[in-house]
Amino acid sequence: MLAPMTEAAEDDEPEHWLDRHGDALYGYAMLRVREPALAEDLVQETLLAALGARADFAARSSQRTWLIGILKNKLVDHLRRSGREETFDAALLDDATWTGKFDQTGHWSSPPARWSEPAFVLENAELGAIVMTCIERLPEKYRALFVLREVDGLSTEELLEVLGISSANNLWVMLSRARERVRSCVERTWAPGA
Amino acid sequence: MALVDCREATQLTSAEFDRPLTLRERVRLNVHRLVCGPCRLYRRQLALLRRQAARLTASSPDVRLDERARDRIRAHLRNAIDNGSGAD
Repeated sequence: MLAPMTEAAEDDEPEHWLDRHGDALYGYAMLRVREPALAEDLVQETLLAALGARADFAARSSQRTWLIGILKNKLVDHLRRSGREETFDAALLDDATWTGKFDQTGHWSSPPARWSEPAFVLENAELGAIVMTCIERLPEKYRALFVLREVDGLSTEELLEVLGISSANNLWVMLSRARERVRSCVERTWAPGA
Repeated sequence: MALVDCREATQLTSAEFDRPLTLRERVRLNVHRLVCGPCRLYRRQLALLRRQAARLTASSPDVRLDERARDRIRAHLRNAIDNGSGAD
């Protein structure tokens, strides 16, 4: 019975963080940023910051939760920096996603297909995988926006603060475009019976 | 009051997921939906996306740090440990 305890104690050592949590941290970063090199850097920054802040970790939460918390802060820092280089407003409001969706009278040019019906085909693992793929295909800023809102559940106020978007109205317009990108991607990808 | 077209209805439908609509917006949107099947379907699809997204594990599955990155990070970490960052 001694062996597992020793192992657990060793696992707490910083040398083992990378083995135990590296892939999870990397996957977390990759869902939110697109470039592998950037995600790798974020993992590295996270582990180095964790090393310096080790005294703060008092097993209040699981080690992974604690590391993810540090990674979240690193991601927010990154998004703030990238928002200063090219603002979210500029990147998203120019977007042409909406062009062609509606005709001149404001009606759907090609209305949503009924891929989501009947209800029994829904909520299955395959659809979940398609949604994930479609999120991964979003351009970086849409992806960050969509994931922070729909996966992480940030509020309007939090999103404005984190992303440096100029107004709530702009934010809501951008979110509608992000959702439409994911929705139409799922629609294109989802082929019942195929 | 002016009728909502599908273009505006999709904006309002998405906005419903982020904020409470004003009374005026709600009324206009609901009137539009009474006569517009595609916009009713649109709302159901956005609701479905939200449920699916909320169920996603917070990480991309099946992604692994590649070995070169792992080695590089490990070296940085070791270096920091040897320099005493971990001792305080």
